[in-house]
Amino acid sequence: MRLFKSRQGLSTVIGGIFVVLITVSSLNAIFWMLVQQETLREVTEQMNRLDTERFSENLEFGNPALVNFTSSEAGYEFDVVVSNVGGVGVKVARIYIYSNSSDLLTVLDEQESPTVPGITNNFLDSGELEKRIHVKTDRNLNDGALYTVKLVTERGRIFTAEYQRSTSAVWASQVNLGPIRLDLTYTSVNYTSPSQTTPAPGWVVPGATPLVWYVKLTNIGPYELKLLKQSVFYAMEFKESGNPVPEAFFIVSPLTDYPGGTPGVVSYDEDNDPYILLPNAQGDYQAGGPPLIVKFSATEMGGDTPRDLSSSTRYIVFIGLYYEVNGEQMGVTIPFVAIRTT
Amino acid sequence: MNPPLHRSRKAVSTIVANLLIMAMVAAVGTTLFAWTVTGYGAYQSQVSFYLSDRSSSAKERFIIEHVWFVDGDDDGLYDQVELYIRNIGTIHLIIEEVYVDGVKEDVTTPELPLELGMNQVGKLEVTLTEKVSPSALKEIEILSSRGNTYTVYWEAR
Repeated sequence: MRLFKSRQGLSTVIGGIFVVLITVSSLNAIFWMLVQQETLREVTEQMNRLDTERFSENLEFGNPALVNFTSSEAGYEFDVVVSNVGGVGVKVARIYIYSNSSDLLTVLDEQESPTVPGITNNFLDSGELEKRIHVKTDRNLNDGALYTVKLVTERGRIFTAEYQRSTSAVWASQVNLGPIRLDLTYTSVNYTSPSQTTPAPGWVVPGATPLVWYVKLTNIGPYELKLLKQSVFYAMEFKESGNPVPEAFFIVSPLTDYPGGTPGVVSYDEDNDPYILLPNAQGDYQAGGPPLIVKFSATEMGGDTPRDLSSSTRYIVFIGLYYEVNGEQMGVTIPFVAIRTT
Repeated sequence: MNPPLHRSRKAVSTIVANLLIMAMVAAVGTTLFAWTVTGYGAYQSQVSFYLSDRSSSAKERFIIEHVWFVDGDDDGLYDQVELYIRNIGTIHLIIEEVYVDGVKEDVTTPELPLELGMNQVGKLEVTLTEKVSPSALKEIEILSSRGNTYTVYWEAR
């Protein structure tokens, strides 16, 4: 009460009050900043924890990676066999399926109902082994092509497996003639073109387009065989009437990739870079030596100009193989495949 | 008759002097306090914006989980690329720009910006400025509205 009764020192008190107010404001600002910094630190810590969890994810595919194939009018179903060998539980959020021989991409998310394509049984506890993620799709993965199956987890990790059904299990046939064997499976006769730069099954190929044929040969004899430049992939037009037109694709260098590529079609040099079919190294000749992919494309013997086929035409194909064995020249003609063009 | 003021020995009375000092202290104090509060307010606003921006940026995570090249006109060259972008952060994501080999691509479906909620996957179809040969290795970069980027190198096939 004395303070208010005395007029002396009142300005000092007022000044003091302002100093206290300013100090409190400063402290408040500093405290607020600390709280904000702490909030940012917590966010950073939380994200670091999530990153750590993401990098702790580790899935390993089984061998084989895809099993239990079934098919019905509703589509195709199979299981992806995966083990979670990481330190955290993993949810597979999406699967991508594609192959090099097709321009179709299949994308599958968690199944919304049993009748639509999608994935189920897609959460893996840490340490869970041989988990089977069930996949329902409208795509057949058992056509012999090489498929890539990519699993994406909810945290953003990606795990990839490749799958190719053993062609012998699907459909296999062989033609043996003399010391040479040709496989007749879906993937054993392939082609490339300017737009198909990697070998794809060649049963239906584009017409009026330069082609390179890839044929798998195996030596089932006891001696080395060297293919000669006269060897030819001979496509005979199939017509109900009239004269059929033959189209000869002569053998080209192993360096050949696809018409228009680099190096493109390279002429066959049987002296310096020939195809050599080796016999079975263990003496089990019927098992065959290492398979060799032999390429045909040239319009003339020893040439490097690729040939094409007429559009919308059917062809019956023969293979004439000229070869040298033990210094002697021999040859075989093999009725081979029937193909058509678009 | 009162004596003249200049003859007084005091300039102002004690009361007036005290009142003047109190007024001056109050005025200076009020100004100083107002300046301090305003300054701290501006500072807090700036810091708040900066920290909020950093916090949002730190919460942002995204990946390109798949790239798919498309040959739309069937001429053997890819003219379009589909990007599958997953938001794996703890905040919504806005993709602002796409670059292929350092070239900004403007024609996309849907049009940019592309907004994705948490755990969402978006598909962005990009019409390429330059067609791409099969087997070519391309650098694809996406930029978010918060300035974060994600880059993948992908072989066209």
